Amino acid sequence: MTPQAFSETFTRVTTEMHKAIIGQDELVFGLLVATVARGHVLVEGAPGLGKTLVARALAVVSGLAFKRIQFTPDLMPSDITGSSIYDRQSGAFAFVPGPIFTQLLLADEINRAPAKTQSALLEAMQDRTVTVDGNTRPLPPVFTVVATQNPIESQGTYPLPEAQLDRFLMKLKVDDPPADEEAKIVRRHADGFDPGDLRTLAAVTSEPELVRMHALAQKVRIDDAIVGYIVDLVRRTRHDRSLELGASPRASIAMLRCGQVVAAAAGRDFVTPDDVKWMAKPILRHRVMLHPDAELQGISADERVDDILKAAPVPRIAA
Amino acid sequence: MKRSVALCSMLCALTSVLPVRQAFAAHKPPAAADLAVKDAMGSGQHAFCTHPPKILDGTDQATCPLARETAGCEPLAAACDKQLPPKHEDTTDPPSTPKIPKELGTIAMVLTAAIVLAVLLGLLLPVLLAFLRSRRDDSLRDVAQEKETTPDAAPLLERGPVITDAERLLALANDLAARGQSREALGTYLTASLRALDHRGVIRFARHRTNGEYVRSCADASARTELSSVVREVEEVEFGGHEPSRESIAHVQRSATALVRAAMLAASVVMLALFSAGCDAGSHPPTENDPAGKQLLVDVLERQGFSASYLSGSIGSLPIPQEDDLTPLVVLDLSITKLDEDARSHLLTWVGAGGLVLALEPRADMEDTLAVTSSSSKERDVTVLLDDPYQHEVFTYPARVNVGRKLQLRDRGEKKTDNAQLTREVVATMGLTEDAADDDAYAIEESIGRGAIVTVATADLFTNVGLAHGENAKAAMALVERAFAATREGNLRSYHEHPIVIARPQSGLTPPGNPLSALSQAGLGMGMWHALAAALVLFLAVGVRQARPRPAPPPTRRAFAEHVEATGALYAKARAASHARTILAKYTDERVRQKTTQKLSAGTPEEDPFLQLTGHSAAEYKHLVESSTADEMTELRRMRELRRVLAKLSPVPHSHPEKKDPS
Repeated sequence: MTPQAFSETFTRVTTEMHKAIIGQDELVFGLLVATVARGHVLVEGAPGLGKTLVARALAVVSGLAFKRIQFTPDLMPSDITGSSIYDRQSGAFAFVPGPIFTQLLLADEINRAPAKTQSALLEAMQDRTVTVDGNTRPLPPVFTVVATQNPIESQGTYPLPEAQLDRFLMKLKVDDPPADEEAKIVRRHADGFDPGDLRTLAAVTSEPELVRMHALAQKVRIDDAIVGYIVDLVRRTRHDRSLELGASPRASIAMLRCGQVVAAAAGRDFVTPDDVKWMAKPILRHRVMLHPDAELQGISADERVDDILKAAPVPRIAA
Repeated sequence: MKRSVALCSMLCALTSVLPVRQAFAAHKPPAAADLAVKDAMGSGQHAFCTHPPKILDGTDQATCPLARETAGCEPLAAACDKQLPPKHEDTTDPPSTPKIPKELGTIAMVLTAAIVLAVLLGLLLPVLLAFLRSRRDDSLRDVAQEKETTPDAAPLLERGPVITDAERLLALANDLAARGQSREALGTYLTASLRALDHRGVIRFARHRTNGEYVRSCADASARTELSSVVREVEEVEFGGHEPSRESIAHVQRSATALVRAAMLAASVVMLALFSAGCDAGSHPPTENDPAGKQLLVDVLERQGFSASYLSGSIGSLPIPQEDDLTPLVVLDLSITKLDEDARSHLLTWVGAGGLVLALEPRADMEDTLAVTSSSSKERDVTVLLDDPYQHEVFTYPARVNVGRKLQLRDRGEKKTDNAQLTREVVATMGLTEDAADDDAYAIEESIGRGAIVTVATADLFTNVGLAHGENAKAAMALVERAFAATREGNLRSYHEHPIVIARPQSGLTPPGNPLSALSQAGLGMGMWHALAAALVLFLAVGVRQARPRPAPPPTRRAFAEHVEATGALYAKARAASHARTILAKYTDERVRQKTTQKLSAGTPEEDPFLQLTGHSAAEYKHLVESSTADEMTELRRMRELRRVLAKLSPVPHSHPEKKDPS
């Protein structure tokens, strides 16, 4: 596969997804980047903005197996991973796989389940394996968790611990659509569009192709100046006064991986600072912890990341 | 008298064509000025008589007496009759003007003061609150500052020297390309392009912006395409590790050159437009049909063979003339051009060095400078005297002005300049007389150093209406010639070679040395200080809100009691002081009960043991606790009393001695 073929496939998938989704360019792009980069995405947005629809559309268009878990306070880890059930006929325990054994998993309202249940995803997200009753089972090569959470409601929710947050490659925010896009959405529904029926979408790629895309993205060249720029950005989060906790080296690696995918999506075989900067905010915003004073002053993580991006000089050939 | 004047005019007209007077050979004599006025008025360019302004201002109304006596100015005279306000004999207010009670003024002043005070409070309050908040947070230590000094925070990226000029960068890039440093050349071409586009204002150059951001934000579509191609080529080499080919360098060079040249061209066009706008403003007359304007003067002067224009700069910046310089004659109407102190002193210096000034209608502030005193006169006729040094003959030119005003000579006294050869002479008198009288002068010439000043009592003769009246133009031109003839140094060339410049109303202001003095000169000094103060307060108010918070001190191990106090302090910080006090009161009560139980079990007096241990009866203590834990408890006194009770039961201080009372 060449970067041009990569770019064409990428464009084909986004175009097909936009047959069902109006707007939400950043969300669509981010999901696709994360899928190719073998990462997981935390989507934050108010109800009714199309988070679930985007995830389902991605599954249909990329030909991936899709499962959805509605996280609730009484959800148990075994409800996610699966469990061993005694089989009377054979007289032995048989493993019944849970919904995690899929390729695209939608963890809806992930913060409604307690930390114990949320942690059931840790191994799967990091090591791409699931261990039940001492037996470790591998997950498919393409495995992406798309978790959603509502930023408004706080009662009866369990905030994701930092360890869990760090496992997500990026955190995407879904905002209200502009007026013209909202009008188009309403018009489409008036014309009979059913969000539950995505049979109009075609699978324009497949798991093997996604694996090849991942392999190609890993070969995209990263100059030392770009590595320096990534490290500079991440280290600045650790020295920022408004941040209690900066981003970890895992964030640097995430920026590297995403930069490679973004570069390949643009048909290039090398990463530019623009590719890194493009994905910096989704990658860093959930990995930094604001200082309480900064929170009291209403400063958001996005604002601090913006300031850091504006303070970091972009590498270029010195004149 | 009239016959002699006519004779003089004829003689002058005749002598004008003779070559005996070298100085007068190249331009027309004053006697030809009335013809010049007729020609100018007939050209249709001067409409102040036939189409006067709909509303006549004060200076226009001052020309009304002459307008009424001028043939062809009937429309202006009619406008004067229509617009001149009727004279009120009595001094009482007109009946239409309502009387405003004095109390309204006081109320308005109070309201204004209240509004200003409210605005000031609104601006200062956030600053004060932030200041108090910062004092409250003094205990926080700035650990992040220490972190910043660690070597880890050093910039990772090495940067080269910054050259800001796009043309220089382009030349440098060409030089680098010629020397075979292709990689550096490409980077420099890109930087030159970015600098040029930044100079044009289509992008904003900054260290943190990526090339992609420059391309996306470029406001010029054609420049965006060129820049995109440059960026692609440069990034392939810079980040892609590709070797730069000769074609790619040539392509980048072409694109960068086009971008830089286009930017320079755009800047040149803008500069040219600004320059031409500035030239335009300097060459055009202020108005077209102003009865009190000087357009007709310029026209007549040019028809007489002079080079006349308006002064584009300031009196205070007139260049000091050298011996062989062509010194201009400045027509300075002091009734409309106020000279500031610097311009006034510069004017005298300039005249002493060879400058020529025709000063019209000096006001009180200029009388000291010109050493004359002006006073009103009933006489409206004046006579200008012009002597011919070659024929030893004096020509007289009668004229009529709006309002009679005469000049009297004053002694310069200490103001006499060193090495100045002072010569003063009356060149025009009031009335139709040829006898020059020092105390009844209409115009006085004075030579100062190598230059001269001719002071004229009124500016009427040089206004549009004044020139159009009768034979006034001849008298005006005679005064101009007197100004040229006034210098005794003989450094003048033929008169027509010297330009004549007419000062504008703003020409009396010395150019400001800096923006602050410019604002002060414009009368905005106080406003400027107010704006600066408001900006400072606003800056502080916004800055305090945007300031980065200081990090919290590192966590330390605390006793349980300190935790309770810290919790109370947190509530106090969150403006929930009553809640904090309630918690502390409950905690103190709990501790008192524990201590009391311990003391009683250790064998304390049996008779009312609580009173003996704490100094309070059980009922009093119960009341104290209830009032301290009430929702709206605001009195700290009860809280302190409660803590004293606990202190009596505890021989060891129950809280950290260094900690302040959180309540």
